[in-house]
Amino acid sequence: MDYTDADFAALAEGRTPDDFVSGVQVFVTRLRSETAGTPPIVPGLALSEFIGVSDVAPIVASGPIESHRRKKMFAGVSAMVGTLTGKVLLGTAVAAAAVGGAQAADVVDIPGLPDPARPADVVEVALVDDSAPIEAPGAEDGTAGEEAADDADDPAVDADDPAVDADDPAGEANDHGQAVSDFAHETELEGCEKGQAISDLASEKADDHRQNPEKDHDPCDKDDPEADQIVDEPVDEDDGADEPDEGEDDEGEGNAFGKDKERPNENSGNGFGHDKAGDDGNADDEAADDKGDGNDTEEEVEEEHADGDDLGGASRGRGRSGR
Amino acid sequence: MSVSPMSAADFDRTLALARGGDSRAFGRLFDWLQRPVHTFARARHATDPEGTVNDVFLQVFTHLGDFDGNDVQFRAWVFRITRNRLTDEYRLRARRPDEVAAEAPAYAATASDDVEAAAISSLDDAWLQQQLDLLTPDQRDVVLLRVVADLSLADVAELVGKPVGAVKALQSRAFRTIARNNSSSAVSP
Repeated sequence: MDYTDADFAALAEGRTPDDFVSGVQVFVTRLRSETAGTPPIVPGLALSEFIGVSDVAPIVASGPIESHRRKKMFAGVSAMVGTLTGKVLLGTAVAAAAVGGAQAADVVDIPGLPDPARPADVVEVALVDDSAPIEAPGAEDGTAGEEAADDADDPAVDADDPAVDADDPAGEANDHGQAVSDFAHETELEGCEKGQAISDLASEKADDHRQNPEKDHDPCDKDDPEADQIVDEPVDEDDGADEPDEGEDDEGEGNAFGKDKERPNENSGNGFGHDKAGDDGNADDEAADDKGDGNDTEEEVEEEHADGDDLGGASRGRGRSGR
Repeated sequence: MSVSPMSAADFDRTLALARGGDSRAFGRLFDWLQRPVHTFARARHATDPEGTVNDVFLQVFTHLGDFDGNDVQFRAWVFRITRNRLTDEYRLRARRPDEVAAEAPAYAATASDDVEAAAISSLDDAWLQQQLDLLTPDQRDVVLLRVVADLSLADVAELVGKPVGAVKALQSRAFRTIARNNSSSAVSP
């Protein structure tokens, strides 16, 4: 400690330097004791989500979790529902519906599942009803499964679809549906003709429901001026518009979570959406505009400070270490 | 030391885990520095010291991915956030004096005339606070950052935005003020 003239004067007055030091020593000692003896505070809800955030991810991924952390976890679940959990649950529901829909249209053969006599609450039943024309030209290209999945997702399909007709015995409808499905798989017809044949077969019992029963035109006839109005589309086996082409970059369209897949790990560091500052080599560093470059100028520090941003400029901690 | 020790290797490991979302790592970092931050906030007469601690660590963990440094630099970063937050609070108080919570007489109060009585009668928080209240804001911050945050003169200088020499002078004046006001003997020539 540096001594000034006043210090020397005090020495001359009989007050040794120890007098000066003792007061400071007491102060410093007590201040450090006060710090060490401070009781720990209880973290708030927002902070608890960090301290307990890793417990949520294992549950979503069916990982183990210590029982004593479950309470903390549930305290923060509400914040996670809209993020990771929500996305996983949504993806699971979509995947399940797609598989179920595909099975309903007999596009995908899943062994073991009961076929004709399904529970009434299974939405797939409505998709094979024979009371309405079946537009099945897409059955070959696999889009029917997706369409079925879309229908399966829509509760209105089940509730309002006239195909779910109480007058039509379920057994007879299922048999007809099976027949249509078998024909669709076994026929050697292709393209528009196949689609039309399937439609005709499916419509055998629906003549009464035809809007234009007297209408007579061949939708596959290219000379027919109304042919273009037909919804049925010729099957193109090369049409991969709805399927990801192998070896080509589909930009994530083939992945239901394509956009999320390309994003960096949202849970890295904070789980609350703050992207890492390029540590993973992600060129799209959204934090760069924030504090990511670590080279904040004084102006930026002042601007941040003025805006109430408590990060401070030297987020990269360029302080000189050592004492 | 006011800050419980954490080795450099331990800190690096903990930081890496925290960046990966490990809740225990977050908890370790929080437990490591929450007491010094809390003490700093109380010494600075924060309106809600516990709330300040929560806000500081929320800020720290939110931007943890942006931090790149060792344990000392991390400590400096945390206290930079803490100090800035308290400064913002004071600015808000200045703009809205009628809404300001009652602030302890930090700088308006003068040392008790009976220094000896204060020195003798108090070996508790009140005494510590009295000593700190004798200091100017800059002196107080330097002392707290040196003693409570365990930062070096250089780190404190960078944090407060002053040259090292100025920080050293502030420290000296602060300690002399404390020493002078706690001197129990005055021997007449």
